Amino acid sequence: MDSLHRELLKVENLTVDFSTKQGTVHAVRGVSFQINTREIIGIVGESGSGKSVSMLAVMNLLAGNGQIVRGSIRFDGQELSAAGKKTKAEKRTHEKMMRDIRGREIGMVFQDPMTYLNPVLKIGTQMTEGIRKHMKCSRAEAHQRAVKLLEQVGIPSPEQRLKQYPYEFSGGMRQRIIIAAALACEPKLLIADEPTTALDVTVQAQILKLIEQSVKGMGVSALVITHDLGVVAELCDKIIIMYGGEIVEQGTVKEIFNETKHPYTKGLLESIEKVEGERTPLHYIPGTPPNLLLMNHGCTFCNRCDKAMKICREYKPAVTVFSEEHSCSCWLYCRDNAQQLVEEQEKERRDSHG
Amino acid sequence: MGEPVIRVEHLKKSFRVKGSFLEKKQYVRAVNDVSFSIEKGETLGIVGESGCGKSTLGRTILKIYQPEEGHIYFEGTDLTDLSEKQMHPYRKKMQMIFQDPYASLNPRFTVGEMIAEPMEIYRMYGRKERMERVRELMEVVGLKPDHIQRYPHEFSGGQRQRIGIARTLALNPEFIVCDEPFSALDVSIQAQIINLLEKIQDEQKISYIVVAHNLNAVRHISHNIGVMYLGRLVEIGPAAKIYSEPLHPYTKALISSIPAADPNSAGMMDRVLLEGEVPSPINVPAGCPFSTRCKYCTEKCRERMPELAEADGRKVACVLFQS
Repeated sequence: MDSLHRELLKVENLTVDFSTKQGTVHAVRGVSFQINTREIIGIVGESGSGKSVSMLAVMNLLAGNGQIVRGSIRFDGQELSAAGKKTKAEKRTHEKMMRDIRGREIGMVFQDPMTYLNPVLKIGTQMTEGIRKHMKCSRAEAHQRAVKLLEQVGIPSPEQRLKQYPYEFSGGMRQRIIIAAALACEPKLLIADEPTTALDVTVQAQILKLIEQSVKGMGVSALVITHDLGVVAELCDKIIIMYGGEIVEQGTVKEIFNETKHPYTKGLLESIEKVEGERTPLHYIPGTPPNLLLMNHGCTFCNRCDKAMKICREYKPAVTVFSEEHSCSCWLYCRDNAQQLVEEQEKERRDSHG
Repeated sequence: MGEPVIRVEHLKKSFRVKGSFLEKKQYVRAVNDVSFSIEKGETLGIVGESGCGKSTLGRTILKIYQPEEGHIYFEGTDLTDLSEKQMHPYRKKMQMIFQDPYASLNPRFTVGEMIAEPMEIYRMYGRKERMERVRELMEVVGLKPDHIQRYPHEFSGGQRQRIGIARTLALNPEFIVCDEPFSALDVSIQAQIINLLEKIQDEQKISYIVVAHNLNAVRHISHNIGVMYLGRLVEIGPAAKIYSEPLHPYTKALISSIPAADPNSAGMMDRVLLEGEVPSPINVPAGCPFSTRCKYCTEKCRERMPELAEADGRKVACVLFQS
């Protein structure tokens, strides 16, 4: 690895459960990926695929009934995972550490700019809050910085705008403010959860360009969660495809689009309406996403997969590596060592029952 | 070709915005002087950014909102001034599919009751035949007829949208307004619903208006596309023409801002990026509504709204293409 691209965030075997009235929901199961510095990574998946939950787990912002059961999250040499932190004191010190990281080391942009800003506080107050907390500077310095940031994200007359309330801004403007606030403390990583979903296409194009410019300009890494393959194709270097709480395929943008391996990814790509083209029936993935309450032993996608085999329903496929970046977990590519995988999983099941 | 299924002429609809009684009354011009027609078995896609009046247009055509000016013709009959009672027989032929399949179904009705309800209102078929028809409809939209006794919460988003479609089809309509029928659904489910709507259209020769902001989905389902900006139709014509060579500067910007799901394409770099955002529909700029963001804007644009004029096989409202 060269000095330009060194490892920034490494998530290994992350597993998140939510306990609900209906039972335990296994929202994220054994997710592993890595982000290097100066990279933009896109996480793509349908609703309920666990893409947002994995990110909330990284920030330790899971809802009260959710917890990280297993797995490690290493960020810039620090362990962020709260797995195994049982006592109150342990949890408290962990939370304290996380507070220094959120906003300072990792900036976040959320989906809905309408609800994310506090309606009764001026934009200036909200923007300087984080700067003053993390950068240890005076009110005037923080204000100066906020003005400069608003200018950078393309908001005209920032001095006046800082004195206004969120309702005086349009959706696109608010998203710009949130991006400015997320970048205010020069974080190492920017996490953007569906940053353009609530916006119109023409504004979406503006915001995507802004994210790209800021990230490339400031040397920040970014993790963009989206369900729009068009957005990732334009913005990202690498793509992670999630389905039913697992990563089914990951690789560089070119690898995912040109050398698609997993049947789910293929289905997703085929179901995008091409702008040109005739009125022939669209390809689609039959069925609906899995119910995370009722998980079977096999591959999560097997019920909707047109290539499903007997083994898919019974045992989990292993991750097959195709290149440095490109890997995929599907039985189509790991049939050769099926015997060994089946034995391992059988043993695991016996152990967990016994 | 005979009379178009729907013909709309100079339709206008505005809403009063609440202000204090001392203030001057203000109006949002949601739909402003819109005219078009739809032939049997054809789809007109209406695209535009939020607040451009596309949903209001769909609803005004169904007379959910009473139009202020202009006329709506259904197979040659003028519907504009009909009373609710006189509208009754026409409502049967003009139906609507809603955006949010979670909000548009009654949680206390079973699927069977819900699909049968419109037929009860119009006293179609006897009780037994009705239930048979419900099963038939469920099969048409790809639901299992065995699920007739289930409640909406037992279905996923895509299945609920199918229930909504079955309910709409129960009355054998000739014209359906689909208001953002895909936007609440996941990508893989959207394709299923698009295919279903197209299949139904091919079999039953129904005309659609599809209102949506997802430009790709509309492209696939529509024969013609109408682009709206601040209540006005700025360009209307065959979908293939509009997407491949948009003429109006706004259409150009809109089409080029679709992110291409293809890493090999040129991408964002050579895109026509629009400056700023849509102005408030309360204070629509005088003249062409797009003049404030248009880079070809001249003195002439700020004075008068250009009429829709024929240009290269479609109609465009822009001074650049006026003969």
